[in-house]
Amino acid sequence: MEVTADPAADPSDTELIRRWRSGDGVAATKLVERHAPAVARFVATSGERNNVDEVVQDTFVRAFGAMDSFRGDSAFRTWLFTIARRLVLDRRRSERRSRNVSSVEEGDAVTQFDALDGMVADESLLRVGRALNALSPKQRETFTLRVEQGLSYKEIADITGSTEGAARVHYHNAMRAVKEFLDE
Amino acid sequence: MNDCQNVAVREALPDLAHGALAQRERTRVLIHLEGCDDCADELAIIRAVIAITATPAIDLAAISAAIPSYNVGTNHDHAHQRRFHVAHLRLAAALLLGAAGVTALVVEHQRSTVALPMTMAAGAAGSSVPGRERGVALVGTADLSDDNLAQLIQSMGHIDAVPPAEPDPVMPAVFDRDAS
Repeated sequence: MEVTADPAADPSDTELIRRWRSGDGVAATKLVERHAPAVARFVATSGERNNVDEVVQDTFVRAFGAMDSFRGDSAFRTWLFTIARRLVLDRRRSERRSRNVSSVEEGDAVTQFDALDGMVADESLLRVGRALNALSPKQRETFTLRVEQGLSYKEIADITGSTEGAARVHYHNAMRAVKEFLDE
Repeated sequence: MNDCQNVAVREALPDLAHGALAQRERTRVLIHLEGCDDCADELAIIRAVIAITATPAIDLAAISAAIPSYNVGTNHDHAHQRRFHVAHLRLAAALLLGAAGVTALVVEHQRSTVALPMTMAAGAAGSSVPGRERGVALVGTADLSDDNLAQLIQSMGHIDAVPPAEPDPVMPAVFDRDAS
């Protein structure tokens, strides 16, 4: 997702990071404007629908605080997603601990698709949202990263700590599950 | 809904929905879509997912304001400390491996010294089983004087060549190098 258009008008992420390192605060703002909406959608679909703003801000603060460890092997957005995903998982774990829940239920996250009933009038879209909610967390995560974010299997594997092959399998299994849900 | 057998086209559908396909690939997929209801259904699902995934309201200004300024010294120090720590670990591992190697060599050397064909020399004086009492001195026959060699041969003459059913713990008199 690296932007490589005219450097003057639309500088790349790498260029903005370089500018921020040399003291240009506006460069950081541009990076936030460029990537925060996508990170917010990812966080919302990952089960932190009620704390999106907080998680996104935390993601950027941590990313910029650890910028020296960003080697540029992956796209900056992919790196942000990796940090956001870790934060979501950490929050979910601490919530479980605070609720003293001994058994871990994977599907206890509240995703963006839980709230569609009041927001989407189109019945077919509602059914698609319910189909997504019926997916396993791993399938939903892979499916939304591929479909909604348009990421490659390689990028998805980098974010989820998996493999391209596993990401491909999760995606096609999820698509099949959605079709079966809609056929019912 | 069924799965189209053209996996390449199915794999390209999310990229088509995001406008991320090259012109040639895009044309190929669109031609396929005209005659494939299964892929058309799949593309409709993909577009529906994109449509219902609205961007949550976030405060971009607050996020930007929370970003720390780049602290060259701090970040550099952290990176330097990390590298320094790793270097220490590598040095410790190298020293440990070296010590283990030297120990192995010493043990192997001692083992080969004892195991090599050696002559158990007879002691010059008195003890019937000096090896047990004073330790066995193992030397080569080349180190023995003529007198000592004669004593050794004489001692060996006392050894019963045909052992009884329950062998007595008879040992040849052992030459004590220190005593000589």
